[in-house]
Amino acid sequence: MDNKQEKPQTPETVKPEDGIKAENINNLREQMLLEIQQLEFTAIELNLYLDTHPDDQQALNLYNSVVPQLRQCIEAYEQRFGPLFHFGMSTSRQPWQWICSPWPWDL
Amino acid sequence: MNSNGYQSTFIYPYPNIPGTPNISAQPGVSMPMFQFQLAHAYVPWHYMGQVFNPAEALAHGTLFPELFSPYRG
Repeated sequence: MDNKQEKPQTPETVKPEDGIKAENINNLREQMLLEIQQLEFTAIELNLYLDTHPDDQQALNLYNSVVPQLRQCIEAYEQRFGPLFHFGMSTSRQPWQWICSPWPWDL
Repeated sequence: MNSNGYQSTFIYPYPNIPGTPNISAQPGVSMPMFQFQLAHAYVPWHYMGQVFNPAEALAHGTLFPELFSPYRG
């Protein structure tokens, strides 16, 4: 199916008074995505470790500290750049944001 | 013979491994005999110590410094 829009236009959520110049929106987006990936990777590693070490309090503490950070970063990203998950995680403005925000390969 | 038809201990005719009986491995040896268990992994129990921060963890591909060992071929 061909993508709705040719080039990724700036989502209207970012208003000029946000103080972010248009051209470094993309590296703000990439920065926020990278942080999400880092936190997600850490959560996965801890998940795997905890599978075999369910009583390790240090690992549990770390995991329980990473999860809220991850949720918060995802929420901040989605609020500004649109959904990261195609269903069940965040609500959408009209039009359906999932197909209006650029795909990962379009970034 | 155990259930899947193989005897449990075998003499594998490796020609030049020291300590193995030097039965020369003629082609067509119908029933290979294994002396050593083929694979016996030794994995020490991992205790979490220092860990990388999330940025380092993603970059290193592991959360645990003790598991970071890139293959420098």
